[in-house]
Parts: sequence; C-alpha cells; structure tokens
Amino acid sequence: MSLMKSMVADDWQKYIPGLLLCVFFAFVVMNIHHVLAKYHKANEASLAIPRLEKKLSELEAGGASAADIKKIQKKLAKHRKALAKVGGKPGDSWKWATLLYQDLQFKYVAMLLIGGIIIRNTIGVAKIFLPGIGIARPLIKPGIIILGVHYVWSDVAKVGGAGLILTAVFIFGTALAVMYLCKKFGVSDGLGGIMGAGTGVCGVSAIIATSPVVKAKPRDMAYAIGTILLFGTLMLFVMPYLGQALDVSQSQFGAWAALAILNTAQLIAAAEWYGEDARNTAVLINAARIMLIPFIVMYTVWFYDLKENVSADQRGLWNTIKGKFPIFILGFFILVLLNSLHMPFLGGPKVAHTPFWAMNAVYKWFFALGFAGIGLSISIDDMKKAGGVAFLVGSGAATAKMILGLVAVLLIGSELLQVTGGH
Amino acid sequence: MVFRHPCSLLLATDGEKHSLRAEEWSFNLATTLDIPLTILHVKDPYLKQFYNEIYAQGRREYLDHVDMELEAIARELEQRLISTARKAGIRCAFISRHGDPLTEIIAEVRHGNYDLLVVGGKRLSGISAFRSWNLPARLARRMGSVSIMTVRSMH
Repeated sequence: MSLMKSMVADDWQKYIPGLLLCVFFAFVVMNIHHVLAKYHKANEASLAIPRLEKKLSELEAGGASAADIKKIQKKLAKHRKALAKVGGKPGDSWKWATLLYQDLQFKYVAMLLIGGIIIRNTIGVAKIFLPGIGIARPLIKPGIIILGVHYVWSDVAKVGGAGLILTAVFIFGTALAVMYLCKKFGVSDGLGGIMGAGTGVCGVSAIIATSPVVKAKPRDMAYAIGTILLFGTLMLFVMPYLGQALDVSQSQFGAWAALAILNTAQLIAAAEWYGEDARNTAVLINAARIMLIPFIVMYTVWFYDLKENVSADQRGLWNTIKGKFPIFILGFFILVLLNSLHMPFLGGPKVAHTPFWAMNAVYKWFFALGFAGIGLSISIDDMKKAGGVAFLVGSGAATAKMILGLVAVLLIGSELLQVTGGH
Repeated sequence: MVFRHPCSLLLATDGEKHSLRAEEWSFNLATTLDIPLTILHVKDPYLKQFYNEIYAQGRREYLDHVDMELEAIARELEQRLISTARKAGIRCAFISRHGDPLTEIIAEVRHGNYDLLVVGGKRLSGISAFRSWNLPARLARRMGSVSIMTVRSMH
C-alpha cells in the first residue's frame, strides 16, 4: 500500500480538471478530423469512380489481363466504400473537405495547436486547469515509445546513424558557435551556456538541464525560454508550409524539422502535421538528438570550466549520463528491438488484432492529448518574455540552423532518411 | 488651504534596471513627505512551470535552482534597499511575497491599505509596446480605486 502511495503525487487531484479538459478537447478535435478525412476521401472517390469505371470497361473490352482488371476493381471497391460511408453517389461534391483537409492541411495537429493557442490567448484558461494541461504535454512520450513498432534495427542503423551524425554536427556546431560568440561579446556564462544548449539540443529541455550547472539567472532563463518558444512556435507553423512550397519530401522534412525546430514537442507536431513518413524520420532522429543531452551538459561544464558548480556525486561521464539521460527513450528502442525480431504473436502495426496493431491504434490519442496540452499552454505572454541578448542569439542561431538544416537534408536526399519499418 | 498628500507608500520592485528610477523616486517622496515606505518584492515562480518539459532531465535540480536564485535576488534587494532607506532616515519595511506579480501586488495593496503604489516601467513604443507584458498597465486596469505612479526608466 505504501509503495502504491509513493507512486502517486500527493496533490494528484489538482491535475484532474486540466487533464479532463485536454481529453475533451482532443476528443472533439479527433472527431472533426475523422469527419473531414471521411468527406475528403468521399470527394476523391466521387471524382475517381466515373474515371475508373470508364477505364474498367475499356480494359474489359480490350481484353486486358485479369490481374489488371482486378486491380481496378479493387480500387473501385475502395472508393465505393469511402462514398458509402457518407451516403453519397458519384458526382456528389465535398470540395470544402478537400480544401480544409488536403489543401490547407487542417488536420488534428493543426486544429489542436491553433485551437489551443486561440483559446489560451483569447478567452483564456482558468487557473484550475493549468496543472493538468501542464502534465498533458509529456503524454507525447508514451506515443513516442509506441511508435517504436514502426521501426526495425536497419532503420535505426541507417536513418538513426545518419541522424546521429547530422544532429551531433548541428548540436555541437551550434553550441560551440553560440557559446564562443557569447563569450567573445561579453555575454554572461549563465546566458551563453543556456542559449548554447537551448539552441543546440532541444530547447527548453536543454535549458532545464543546463541552467543549474551554469547558475543561470532567472531573468536570462526567462529571456532564453521565451526566445526558444517564440521561434519553436514560428517554425512549427511556417516549416510545414515552407516544406510544401519547396517540395521537400516527407523523410527530408522529418530530418529538417528534427534539426531546425528547437522545441521537441513542436518538432513532433510539425512532422506529424506534414505526414506519417515525416513523423517517422523526425521521431527517430529526435531520439538520437535527445540522447546527446548529457553530452551537451558535459560540454557546457567543460567549455565554461564549471566543475566546481557540479556537486561531487554528479561529476563525471557516468554520473552525468545517469542524471541527464532521458530513460524513457529506452522503451522506444525496446519496441524497435521486438519489432525487428518479427515475433508472430506480436504482429505488426498493420496486422489487425495483434498487440502491435492495438498499440499503434492508441498512439494518436497520446499525441492528441499531448498536442492539446501544448496548444493550450502556448501563451503569447510567455513569448513576450523573449528579449535581450537571448533574442539576438536565439534568432540568429535558429535562422542559421533552419537554412543549413535544409541544405543538409537536400544534399543527403530522401533515401537515406526514409524509414522502411522493415518493408 | 491645506494640501493633502499620500500618507503611506508602497513601492513594488523586482530590482531590475527599469525599476531603479522608481526606487529612487519612492525614497525621495518618502523623505520629502516624511511618510513610511513599504517595499514589496514578489518572487515570481513563473519559470517553474517549464520543469515538466517533455525531455527535461534533472527536474528537481532545476526547481531547486530557480528557488535558490529567486531567494538570492530577494535577499540582495532587501539588503540594498533597506540600507539605502536607513541611510536616508526613512521608516521602511520590506515585504516579500511569492506568486504571480500582478496578483500579489494587488493582494498587498488591498491588504495594506496604501495611498499610493509606485512601480517602475520600461519606455515602450511601437513594437516594444505590443511585445511587452506591461505590468504597470495591467495593474492600472485592475486597480481602479488605488493611485498608481508609473516611473519610466531613463532608456
């Protein structure tokens, strides 16, 4: 009983209202997403059916092979099913659904983020909901762990390997450049350290890991966090559209987002928004990226010669890894391992009624709850705290990373960054 | 004719650059009018809300660090302002509150029944006015019944 009690926060009740709000918000948005998707598919089917029927009759008249005819029949059956779901007939039109769902990319991610931001910054969120909204955000973590069923070890070796090299170059390159420039221009070690780590690794998470080490001042931390949130939010909304405009492939976009978007939650949101393949690449490269957090802390300690700031029991490589390593990511790799072993009883994400299929079915709900939490916690007031030298440093580093990241992924190409999932 | 003046003064300060002039003016007012001055500093736990960032590691250390820094700022501010007040012969009290500055300043004004609240503010125009959180303006909106003096910083 005491063990059970120790696992539950004393004041757990305070999280309930906010969590319920996120569940309600996510539920409403996921349903709107499904309705939009359904009508968009029906619209596509309505246009495709007459064309396919004509093609089928031509094939039958021309004595085409049974395989070709079957292929067209299969497509027709799929489209008829999509049309039947909305009770429509060929020729009916639902252009609005295609406009919203496909052209404007108004999917659940966008609805939760934009809707959340609008709610938070217009009508506001009552204080009673804030603790629950705060802990809804990390619910993306179980979603990320579950996504392990989409990968096999060859993906980890190929994409993760390329990603690890890319992120290591970008992380340490950014951190080195930012810390060096800050030191050269007389910026305090505290601010230089958190901005170097924040713009280098994964934004606010890195600031939290490094600020006690560099003894950052609250004002500098507020500036730095505000700047990271501001650029993360800007990129979250700009990059998917920019990616489409520049015709960046899904896998390239995933890698680009993992390199350029400073805040982890926002990068996953942007990649999920762009598409499934983009998300798969982004999650894997991000896994490689976050494993570098302990090393960036060690690097900061070394760069600023801060050994005396670190307590004796936290010094050294092993102690830093123990203290700063995101352990949950091991869950992700365990699932990758299990998926790579192809154990029949576990099935796969697309093999119906198997454990991996069931897990895959719920990941979107974890993401939806997390994104609801992110949207509802993006406060323009927080971003207004961006300022001072942190703003100059952050904007320079963020822009440079975005441009250089794009060049790097375009040079690498799609194939090396493509997650196969064993197929 | 008798001119009335405020009998109790509350200075709300965070010790930042934009509050220095407000501190100076408050000391001057308290000395000239020979009235007691209460100095309020709010330890804003705003940064703590980020501790559960998705991949945040070392959360406990981070929260402890924020607490320690806020405490250090409050202590340093108290020492500096109390010593200045003593040198100037001002009757002075230092109050430290914990929470959202807007809420806590309003709570202290209501609790202490002060005649005048003095706060520092940045010089804002154009984009900086839009971007700023602007605590003095928010205070003015929320406290219609209390006199507020916003002392703008020099730059």
